[in-house]
Amino acid sequence: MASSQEIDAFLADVERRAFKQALYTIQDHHSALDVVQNAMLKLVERYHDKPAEELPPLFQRILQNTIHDHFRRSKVRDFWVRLVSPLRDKDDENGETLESLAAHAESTHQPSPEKEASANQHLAAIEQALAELPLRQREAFLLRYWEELDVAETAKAMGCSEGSVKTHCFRASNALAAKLKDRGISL
Amino acid sequence: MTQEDDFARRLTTALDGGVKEMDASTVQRLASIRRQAVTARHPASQGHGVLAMLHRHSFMSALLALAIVFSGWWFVHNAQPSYSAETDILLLTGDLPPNAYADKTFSQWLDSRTLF
Repeated sequence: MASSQEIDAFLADVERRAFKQALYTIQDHHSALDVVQNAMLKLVERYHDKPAEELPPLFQRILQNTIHDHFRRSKVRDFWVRLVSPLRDKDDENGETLESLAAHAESTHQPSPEKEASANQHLAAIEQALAELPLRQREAFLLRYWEELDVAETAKAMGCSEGSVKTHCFRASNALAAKLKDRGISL
Repeated sequence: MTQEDDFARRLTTALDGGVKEMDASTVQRLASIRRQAVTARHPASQGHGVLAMLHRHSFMSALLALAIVFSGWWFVHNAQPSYSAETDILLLTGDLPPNAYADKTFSQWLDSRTLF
């Protein structure tokens, strides 16, 4: 059973990467923080009796599920907002609200302060390329290569087969290489 | 190491650089929510009483409650009246023949006798 100090040390070790994972996927700073907070709370409340060595894969599984839950809730919320809003633009064929479009534009097209402050333009391009990947490819790539989980652990965290993990990773690597090449970046 | 692995390693090394350069406000916020999470265990889950135990094992508690309800329902609907050997002996050795107890008018006769 992990002690409070062990859980705190573990979370301190992974919290920045967890936030970045959530941010690449959700592309909203506050929502990414909320997701990380919920994942931490779930880990502590439900799995504090687990040994410390079991925490990394458990936390990754919780984090991925929490990110998926965020998207599910957003989809349901957007559905009801569109349904009840009398000011809905009938010509808006993709169904996005002005608020969501504005938020999307702010998060994707305007550089954040941290990116402005960063001298490494390559990093911003890499993060942008990651953000453009399909959800499952990005998850597989980050878990497999950034979190250094093996294929079986990645499959367990994603709730899919090991073959799917390999396929997602292969496609993600190819897509990232192509996107970075288009931007004139070589690693 | 395959070409894919090598590319991924170089890319994730760059991502690690981004993690180190995270802005101070986000770092502080993350530390704050971590402290809240670690200290925010549900009070009931830390107790030692019956309620705390039920909370910790909520699934088992629900099963136990269902078992109690089902047992009660089964007992009410299926419990048979108990027969005692003494009652059988009294019936067989008494002056009245056993058929008298099956006679519906016999119980009416008994009731009428108790009135007097």
